[in-house]
Amino acid sequence: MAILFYDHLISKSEIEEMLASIEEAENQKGKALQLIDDIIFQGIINMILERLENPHHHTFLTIVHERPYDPEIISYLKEHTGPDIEDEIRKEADKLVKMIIHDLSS
Amino acid sequence: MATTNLLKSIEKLEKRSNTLRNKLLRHSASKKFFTKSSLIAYHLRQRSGQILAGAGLIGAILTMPVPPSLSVSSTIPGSTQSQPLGNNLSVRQKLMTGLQKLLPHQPTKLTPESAEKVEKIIFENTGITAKVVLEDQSLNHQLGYIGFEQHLFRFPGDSLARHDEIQEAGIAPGRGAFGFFAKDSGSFTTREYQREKYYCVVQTLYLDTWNRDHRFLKDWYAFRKMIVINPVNGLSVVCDIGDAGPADWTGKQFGGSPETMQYLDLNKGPRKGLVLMLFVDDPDNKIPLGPINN
Repeated sequence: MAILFYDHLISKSEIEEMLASIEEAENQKGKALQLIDDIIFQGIINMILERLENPHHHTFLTIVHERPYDPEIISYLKEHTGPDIEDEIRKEADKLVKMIIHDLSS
Repeated sequence: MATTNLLKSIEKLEKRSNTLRNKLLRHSASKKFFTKSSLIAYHLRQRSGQILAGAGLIGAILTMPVPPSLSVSSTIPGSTQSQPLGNNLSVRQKLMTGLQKLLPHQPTKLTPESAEKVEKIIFENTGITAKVVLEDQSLNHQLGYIGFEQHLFRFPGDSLARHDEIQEAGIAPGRGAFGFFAKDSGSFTTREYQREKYYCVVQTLYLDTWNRDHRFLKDWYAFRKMIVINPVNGLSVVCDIGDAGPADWTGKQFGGSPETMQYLDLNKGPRKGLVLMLFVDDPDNKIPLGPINN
């Protein structure tokens, strides 16, 4: 699967193992994985927008739209939100993964 | 997990996805993007894969930062004057082809051998004597990432409104590390106007001898003339050092005024790119600041 700029900061292995272990049609598992990918994406983008000042929102979203893989996005965020943005993304992703596991388990 | 449970889980995940989407839509800028189907992770991954595969970049992207991909435009960015296109392309192409094969694509201090070759290419194509070492001074990097800076106050009482171009860049809260460009508005001449318009920023604060010799070094570097070249597109500008920085943690080694960055075609997207930065040896002050158009 092609990369997004934050992929190196997050781990979905627990979710993937959980889904792999169940007996279910592959298309349903695929649908769940796509939704999970999108939940993490939306959650991370929302967290970033809350930390980024409004005048930078449009530029940030434009870069994500045009070059979603670009490591320069992290550099841009470090410049405009602070040097700890990678840790913030990691924490947000961990929180999202826990919520997703809860949804899958309950 | 039972079969029926996954279907229930998918329903929950859909609800969670909708909740997050609604949260995102509270940010006004995101409405434009998140009401389009293209800004969802699945489509972005597809897009990412297509772009990277097309450019053969997947290996590179995993190991090093990539500056904004820039194409050679047929007009000079930001220029209001008509330019002889053939001549510009000729200089730019010569700089590009000469420099691209020599320069590593990462921040670097050039070796004496590379420096000699780079200086020769610049002189042959622009007529400018560019130096990696000048009067025993050299920067920690000659090749580094340059970032988009704000305008600077040119004299006490100056304001953003008095800057005639790219006001959306804003203005830095304090004066530059080397002081105002003019001591007051009465002594503000076209020379100072040009100095602020085409200023650049270098990391004098990280020079090995800065703490020991900062008085001498501050005078030596203040408004020192530099040549900055974007090796990706061959665009180049003669600028002067107007401020010190950027901080190491930014991952950048240089800064450029809004006009400098616009001319280098580095004023869009992340507003950052890898450039070559050398001293200009111009003891008689014959080389004007600004874009190199010959």
